[in-house]
Amino acid sequence: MAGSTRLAIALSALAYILAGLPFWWKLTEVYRVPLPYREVEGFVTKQSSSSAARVHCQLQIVFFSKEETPDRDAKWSDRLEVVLRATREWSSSGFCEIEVAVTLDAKGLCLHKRGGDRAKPLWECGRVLDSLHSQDSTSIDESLKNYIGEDRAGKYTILVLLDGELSQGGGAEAVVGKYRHAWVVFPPSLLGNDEQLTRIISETAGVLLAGGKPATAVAKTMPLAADGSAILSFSLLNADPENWIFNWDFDSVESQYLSPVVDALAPVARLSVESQVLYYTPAAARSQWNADIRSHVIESKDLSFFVNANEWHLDTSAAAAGRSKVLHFAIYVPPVEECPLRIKLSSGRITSSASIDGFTSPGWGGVVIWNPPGCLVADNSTLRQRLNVNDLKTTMEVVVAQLRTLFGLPPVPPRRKAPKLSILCNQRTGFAEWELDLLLRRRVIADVNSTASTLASLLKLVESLPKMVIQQEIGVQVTTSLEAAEKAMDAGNASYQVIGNFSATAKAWAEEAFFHPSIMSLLHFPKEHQFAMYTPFFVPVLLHTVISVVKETMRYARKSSRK
Amino acid sequence: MDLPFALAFVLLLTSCYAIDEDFSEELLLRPLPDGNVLAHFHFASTLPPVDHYGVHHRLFPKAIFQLVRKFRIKEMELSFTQGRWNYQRWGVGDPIAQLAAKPVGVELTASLDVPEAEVDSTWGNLTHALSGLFCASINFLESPTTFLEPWFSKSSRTRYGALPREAVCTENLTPWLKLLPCRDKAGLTTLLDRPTIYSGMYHSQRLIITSGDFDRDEEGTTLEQTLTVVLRKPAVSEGLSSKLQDWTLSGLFGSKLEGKCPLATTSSVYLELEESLAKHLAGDLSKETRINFVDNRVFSLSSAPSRVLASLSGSLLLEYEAGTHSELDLGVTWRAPVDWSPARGRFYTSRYLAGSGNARGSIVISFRANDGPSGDCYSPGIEAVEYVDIMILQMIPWYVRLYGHTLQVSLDGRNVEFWSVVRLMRFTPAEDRKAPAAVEIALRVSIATQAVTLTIQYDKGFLHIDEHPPDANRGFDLPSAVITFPRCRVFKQFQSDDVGHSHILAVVQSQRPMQIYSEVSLMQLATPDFSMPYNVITLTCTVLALYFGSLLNALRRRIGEEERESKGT
Repeated sequence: MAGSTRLAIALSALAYILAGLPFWWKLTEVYRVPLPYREVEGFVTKQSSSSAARVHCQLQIVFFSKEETPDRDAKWSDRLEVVLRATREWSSSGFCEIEVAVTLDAKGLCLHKRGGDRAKPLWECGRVLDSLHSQDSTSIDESLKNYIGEDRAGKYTILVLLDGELSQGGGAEAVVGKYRHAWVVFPPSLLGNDEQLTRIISETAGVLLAGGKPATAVAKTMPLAADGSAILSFSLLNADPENWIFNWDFDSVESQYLSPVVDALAPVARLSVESQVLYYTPAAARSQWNADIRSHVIESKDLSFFVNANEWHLDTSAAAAGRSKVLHFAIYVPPVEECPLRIKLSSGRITSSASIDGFTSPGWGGVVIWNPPGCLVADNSTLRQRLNVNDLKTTMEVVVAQLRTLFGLPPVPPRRKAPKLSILCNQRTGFAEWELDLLLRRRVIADVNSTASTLASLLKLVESLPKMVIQQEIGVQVTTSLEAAEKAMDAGNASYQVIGNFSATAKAWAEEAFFHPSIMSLLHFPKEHQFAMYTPFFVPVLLHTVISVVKETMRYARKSSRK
Repeated sequence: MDLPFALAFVLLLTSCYAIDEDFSEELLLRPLPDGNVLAHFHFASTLPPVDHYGVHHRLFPKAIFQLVRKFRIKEMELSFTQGRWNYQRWGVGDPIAQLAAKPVGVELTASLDVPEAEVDSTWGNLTHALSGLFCASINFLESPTTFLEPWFSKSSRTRYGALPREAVCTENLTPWLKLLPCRDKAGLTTLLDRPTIYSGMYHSQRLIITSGDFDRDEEGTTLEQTLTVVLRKPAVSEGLSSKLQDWTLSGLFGSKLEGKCPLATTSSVYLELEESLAKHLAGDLSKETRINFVDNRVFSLSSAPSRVLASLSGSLLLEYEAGTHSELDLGVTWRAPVDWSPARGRFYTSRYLAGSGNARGSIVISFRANDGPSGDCYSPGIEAVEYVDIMILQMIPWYVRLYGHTLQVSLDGRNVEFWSVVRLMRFTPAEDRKAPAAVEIALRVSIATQAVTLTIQYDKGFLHIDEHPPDANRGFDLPSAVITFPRCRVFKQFQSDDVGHSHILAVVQSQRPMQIYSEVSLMQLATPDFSMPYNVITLTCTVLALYFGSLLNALRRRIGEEERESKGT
């Protein structure tokens, strides 16, 4: 029938267009490498559910006595069990997956208790310990280091010395050394008091494993760039060089004070040091003269305005390429009219009469106010001085304390009264070995967290922009990062160095993928543009086709009904 | 090693380089014959070699030091210029003009101590670092179409690039000042009042780095920062001559000079009187033993100089110590109408584009002998008596397609055989979108020649629609030609040998070949209609849609049947 031919023509024209549509759609697509959506999602949930990546730690608590202990075996067995349980309860809030082993090493008695199945290394009983009497804490620390022997990241020892003569004043006393061990002097006469014993041991373990702070109280991020590096930029600021001009012997300062710190922190962060001397750098905050202490005093609430972004040109240029992190340490020499300059704390107390004050700003760095000695009595004639290593000793100590604060440690190791607990500091580097382990664990967790969030937001971004080109390279980077992060999380017993490398790799690649230049230069191809391109052709063509189909269908229907 | 020898060795070592960092600030003022005033600020920081001094400094800017170490810069010169140096009125053949005259926009020359294969990539990174440091789009020089390796340069690791279109303003000056230890807080820099210096007739700010650290020649690193401004003559007052106006520092810059930068070892102000101006004084003073500079027939000065340096050629430099005067307000009051001419080279140079239309044209570089008194330059060798050597470096963007065979030289208006005049030539053809064309020519003409003209013809290429810069109708800037007179040494020798720490005097005394820049030319290319692609799309689509519609109708509709049907119903 003639009518059906025409309908067929109209329909085939429409069918042709409809069949061509998917092909045309395919042509408008851009290249997008398939990204591992499911794996990343799985990783993010896994990472957030276990609250923190688990790094392996071993803690052995050894009760050590040269003499025979008064209590019987059974009683000791109970006591070890109590200590084991107390420590394990506490350790759930720590940074690592902990394994505890408790040992009694007394004359003629050797008892072991283990928590967990994997706790392999056991204390070897019966080794001779030299007399610790008449030694100060630092030398005890050294002797015990030799005595304990094996020293590696993640293995910690608490030695409970059951020795009445060692304790001063007859009470229990704990000391955390600068390596990976602590010792508790516990007079045997107090052994009946199990509560006191468990309390002092778990406090000590808390310091040794987590710095004495719960994991939640610590800042989540480290002041480091994506590749785990940071630049320590030291600036000596001569606020007003009209009267006095100071410069410094920074080469010696670096070799004497900073290189040991940088070397010690090498497993945690790659730090580099640079310096400059700047002039005409007044502070932006005003101080007031306080006649009582004959000083200019600046309120702590004004400190946020102290750093003068207009005049302090602290920025580094060529070395700090890309997304590197710079920690500024500004040593500020006040002008003559404002010397000595001190800080009034928010509590109303004015800092000590020392010539040095300082404050830190998280993630930015620290400021040290260095008042030239005797500046009140000195005449105002021009003074030019080169500060040597000794002049800057205290300043550098403050700087190291500020560095500790920036990394999330207390500026100086705190002391506690009850139970009596003291922490030795490492005079040379400022960081004890166990603190470095702690920082490394924190960094691993921070790295894994940031990898998870970076990857998640990258994939979210990719999903939300369907017209963005995703290059092969990004796919590779995401996969590499994900693999490394998984390895860091499941590393288990691997050495800290390996875990640290994995987590750093994961973070670096995740950032690399996120900041890939091809993502930055998003292909500008908005929807309006597409409409503008295609409507001049498609609207008239489709209009014709659809109208013809409608008309022919109507005609065909009319004809067939007429028949 | 016995002791005296060791001592001598140590002495020798220490004599080769400075043992401490040093910073000096200097300002040279020169009244120009047309009544304007030239002010040339010169700041220099020197640094002993790293091997001896270490990497921590008290004066040398950290940013520049890091730049030098990272990119292994042996020599670098970066200039930002606004306005055109008027060679005829402000001078050609004198050392300050030599330093001050730069092509408009940004010019960068760098010599890098890296393996030859890495030079281009290091240059690219350097341009990025510099553009970050100076808030300028120097990074456009990364593109291989904008820089070249000059053939006449000393080493093959030198690159030269220019951006004639770059606008220069305070955002480039502020980072430049940041490199000075006193910034603009004390010393000579307090004179740098932004509105004054940017409303001047010419403004050129430079950064020159030389480092001997990579050659182990014990020279250390030097950073020279210079700023040259030609300030408009003060508003007309009741003067002696309509041309010369009295001026003072405070009148020019809006403030007096108070004190010096406490970190500078030298802080001086110089007033330069050119030979032909100084002659007027000499004529006046032939009877007297000493010239009274403060008050003489020609002018009077507001304060007496601490020292007067006379060059062998007769120009005078009056030196003022900035630190000793608590307040220095140097000023010149003219007493008699004087007329003098600036130092002139042997040739005036100009470059222009000939031809019309959007298809073809020719580039002409012409040299015209200076008819007035020629400020002669020192020319070593006997040949220089008879000949003048001229070296031309001209970079041409790839979209200007040069025809090498049309290159012609004419002397005094007559075409001459090409190779009779041209001693050496390197013609590097352009590669589309990859490399610019470079024409480097060394000419030798007789000293009697009055005019030399070089001509080369070109076709204008077509650019892609997205290769046009914003404001495409403005045209494209051709970079200046760099013209060197290698046998003509520009320098001044002073009668007294004592130049002290002065870097300006050291620069003035050093022998350099005379170098001048041609004008920047603006070339019009055929500018496309930027809405064309969309017009084409719309037109094509409409035609196709019409065709499709009529075809479909032709297949489907039967006119007669429809009429029948409409009648039937």
